[in-house]
Amino acid sequence: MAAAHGGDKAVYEQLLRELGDTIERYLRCHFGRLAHVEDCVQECLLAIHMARHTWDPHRRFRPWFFTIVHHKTIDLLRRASYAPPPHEDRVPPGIGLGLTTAGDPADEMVPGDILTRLAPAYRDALKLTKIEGYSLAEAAARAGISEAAMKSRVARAIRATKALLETDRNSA
Amino acid sequence: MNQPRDELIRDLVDDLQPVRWPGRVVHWLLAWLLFAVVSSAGALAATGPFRDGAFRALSAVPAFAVETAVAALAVTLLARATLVSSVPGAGKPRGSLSWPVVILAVWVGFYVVGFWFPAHPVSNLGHRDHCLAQTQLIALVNLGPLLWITRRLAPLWPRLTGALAGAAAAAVPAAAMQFACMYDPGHILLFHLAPVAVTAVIGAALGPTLLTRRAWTVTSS
Repeated sequence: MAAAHGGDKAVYEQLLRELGDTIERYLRCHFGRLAHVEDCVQECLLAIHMARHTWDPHRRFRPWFFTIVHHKTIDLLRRASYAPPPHEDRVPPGIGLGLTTAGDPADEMVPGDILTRLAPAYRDALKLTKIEGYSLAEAAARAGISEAAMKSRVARAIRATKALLETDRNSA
Repeated sequence: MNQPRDELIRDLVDDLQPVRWPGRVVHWLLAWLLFAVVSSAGALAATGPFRDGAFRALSAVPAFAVETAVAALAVTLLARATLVSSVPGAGKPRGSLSWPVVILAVWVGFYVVGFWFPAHPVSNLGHRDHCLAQTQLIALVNLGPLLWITRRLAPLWPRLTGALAGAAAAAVPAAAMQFACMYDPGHILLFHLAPVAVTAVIGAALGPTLLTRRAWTVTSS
């Protein structure tokens, strides 16, 4: 990043490619087959580009980088539509967590999967609406609660996820 | 191989220009505080006299000195939180937010308690006819440079940053009015501190427009 501050395009391209891969692994490690991961990766790269001047060369890169990634991840969770994705993207229930492979750098960055650390009700709400792609009404019917309750549960699940991401960042 | 991402990266690399690190948050904080204090004191001095004996009360009335110190602390923490929220990784979002809110609440609390136990003798001495308008106008003058500074950084939460900026910008003239206008807790809450809330709302409304850079859009995945 220090070289990118000076305008070194070759180094910057390599940095963005590596960061893109890192973000993708990070998201898949934490959220499994979350819908629109690629959108989130691109949003993060864009945000990194727009904010690159704010990285303090005297400080570590990681807190700066993960603040942006966490922010964009929460943004994605909030904005992800409740409309079901195309049929081939819909993930069978129960699948979608822990996709990382041994030796994956993302494994070293985070102590565990965010979704598995959420309360079961929150985890199910996020999985149904954001990963498996069910609409609010469908997810509510599967969970046996009202649509309004599911909406509220998803909002609280996102807040809990945000708190967990912050805790990870602060303890890192 | 991910084609949309590769295209985006190529575009971003093409757009790369040398950039200069804008400097430490504390430098921007001190610069803005200096501007805000000078502009607020200058504007108040130009529009009327300061209350007779207001500065002497700092040493003569300890509770008033404590109240003023809390006001100064609230201003500083609000401005700091504005700037910290504009630099990714500069501080913990919750930690940097909670203290300004707590100190601001303590400052307001002084006047609420002041209905029964005022920190300074209540009187109409120093009454200004247009203190509400003056506080609000000075707040807007202070808000401009603070938004300009945060825009140069990279606020991730534009609405929140805008609200903090608005509160900080209005807190400076509100604190200055401690010396320029009459001391009455009800009057202070209604005419000096209400602009803090109003300007925070204005800042929150302006934030998403003024503090968001939309030079690029992600096309597809």
